[in-house]
Amino acid sequence: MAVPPSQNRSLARRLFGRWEASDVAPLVSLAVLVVFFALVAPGFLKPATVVQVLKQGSVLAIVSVGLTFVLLCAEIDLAVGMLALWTACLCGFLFQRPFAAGPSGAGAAPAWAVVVAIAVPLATSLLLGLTSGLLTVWSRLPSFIISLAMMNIADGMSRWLTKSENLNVPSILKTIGNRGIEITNRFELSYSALLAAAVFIVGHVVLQHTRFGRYVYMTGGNREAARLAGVRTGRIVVACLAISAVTAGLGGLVNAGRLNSVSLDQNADLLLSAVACVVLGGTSLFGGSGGMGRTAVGVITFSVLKVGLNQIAWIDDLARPLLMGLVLMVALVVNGLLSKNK
Amino acid sequence: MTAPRPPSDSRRQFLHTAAGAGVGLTALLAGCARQSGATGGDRKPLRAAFSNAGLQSTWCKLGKDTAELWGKLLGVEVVWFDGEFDPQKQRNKIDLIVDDDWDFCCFQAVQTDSLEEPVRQLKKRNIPVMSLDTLLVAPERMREVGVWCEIMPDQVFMGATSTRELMRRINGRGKVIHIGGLSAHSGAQGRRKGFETVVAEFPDVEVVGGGVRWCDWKKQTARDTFDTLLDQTREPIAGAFFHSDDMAIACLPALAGTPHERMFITAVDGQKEGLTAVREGKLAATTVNPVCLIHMTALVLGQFIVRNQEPVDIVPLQIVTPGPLVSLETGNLDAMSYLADPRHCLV
Repeated sequence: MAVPPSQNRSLARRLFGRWEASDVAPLVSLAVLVVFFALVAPGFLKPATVVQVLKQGSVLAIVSVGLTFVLLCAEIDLAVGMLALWTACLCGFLFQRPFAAGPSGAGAAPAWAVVVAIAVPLATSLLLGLTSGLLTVWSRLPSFIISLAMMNIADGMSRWLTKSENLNVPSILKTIGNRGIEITNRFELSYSALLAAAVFIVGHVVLQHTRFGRYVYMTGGNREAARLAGVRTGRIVVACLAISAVTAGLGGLVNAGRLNSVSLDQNADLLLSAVACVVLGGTSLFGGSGGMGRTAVGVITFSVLKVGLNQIAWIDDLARPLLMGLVLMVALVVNGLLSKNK
Repeated sequence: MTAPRPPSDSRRQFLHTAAGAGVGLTALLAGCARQSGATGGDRKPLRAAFSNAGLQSTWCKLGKDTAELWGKLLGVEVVWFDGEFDPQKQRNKIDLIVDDDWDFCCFQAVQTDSLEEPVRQLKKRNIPVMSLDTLLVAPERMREVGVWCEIMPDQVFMGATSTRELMRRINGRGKVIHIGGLSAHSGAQGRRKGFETVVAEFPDVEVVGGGVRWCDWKKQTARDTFDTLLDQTREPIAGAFFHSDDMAIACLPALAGTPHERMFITAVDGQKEGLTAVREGKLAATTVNPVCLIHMTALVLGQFIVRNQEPVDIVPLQIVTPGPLVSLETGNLDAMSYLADPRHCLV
């Protein structure tokens, strides 16, 4: 039976009516990248590439979830990379204490010791995030400044704690970082990607289906209006920075597991990559606009770019960072322009 | 797969190295004894400023530990200035100390030439400066600027030695991966040169991904790159050469469950973690990058120059510290593990 044109239009409006150019732009960037790499990198379109994108993007995804909360309420957390490092360093440090590693340092850690070696560092990252948030609200200084100081504190504590040593981490982290569920003989869904997906889903539910989530958008959209509407904006900022710190810590733990140990050279690029992912997805740096779905697209786009560039053999290796920067810049500018046209 | 016996060169090389180390230690102890005799057993305490690239790296941290350990033994107070892998920060720190009282200084510049001016200032005050690992200035300008001696490993040799062992393991054919350090680092370029020189002798060897992949010494970057390269082919990749043990060890878990599980991996550094990985059979071999020897030699040389009042003309412009290949078959694993032990800091 033919559908009348008026019904067709209303169906289209129902399906796509809420979509705007700024919503579609990140997906267009991703599609263009996929087509580009499919053309220039033989073997790009295969399951192994998807496995790599998920594997290499999972740490970034976990950290980006927390950062999305912070950016949505118009703040920034510059400490995510160093908080990730701190959490992993403390985990490695605790894991090598006699209570976990035994007196000789080579014993099999009991389950409770592994839990302590993972939970305590995460709790400290939560505390550091709360501290950043409370100081931001109390001092009325921009979170940019406070988190800059926190970045240095976390970096300094990591150096002091590890004394530049490589530290071992619990084997459960190594399993999460390196293993997965084999779907087919060529497609393995990594545990880290599953964990990232779980964090994304929790983040999405909190943002879209709770009062707290609505308050985050209100605080970022217009803080004064939110305050006049009865939202305790200070508490929202503190909570968002705390969430960001915990996800950063979790990302740091997964990363240390993937790399088999923790050392001070890890997570240095995590902050900028995570910010790039969130913004690539279309979340506004000025707050109030964006969401987890967008961040997911941003993370996938960023990972596709990284994996795709590595697959092109004919590029001079020294030109890869330049290409990465150029493509990122184009994608961000296009997203920005489309958002302005909204 | 049964690997063939190593060439007798490896054993000879190890014996030479061990003999060299023995001669060096004897000379050191003899020098100290002579000095004690000359001063009636009362050595004048010395003060030395040290700086290397950045203590975030285990290599540099081990260098610091070495200098401090041997400083205590030789009566030299070592004051450390962390380069923080930032030429500007390192320069700022060294600029601040050029007017202080030092008997000698030992610097590994984060970037060649970045410390030229402070070294000139130290030269004006007749303070000997030793260059560690990375060139402070170009070799032809060393003495003019005020660098007494450059103590460095043979980067090309280290790259070539590990690569030759890799070629031996894979019988000179198949696909290999080449993961590099920082392209701007002279040491990484030397290792690349060593790798490429050896691989050029084997026409049946193909480098996956078109050549070296620079990963800036970062484990994360190395792992991402390695993962992607592994997925380029289902045909087993025969081997991989890494510019550092740290990067190699971070990539080992990527092999599990892939067609490349039997891949041979060689690397460079040969310190605690690398030697442990060799012992556990995870790394096929590693070539020692003698961080302790470099820092110890600089310290020992500095105190000789000062205590013996040696003129610059008799000090060699360059000292190349030896670094042997270590594998389960070379027979030097236990010795190297002992020498590399942080309690001894000897290699």
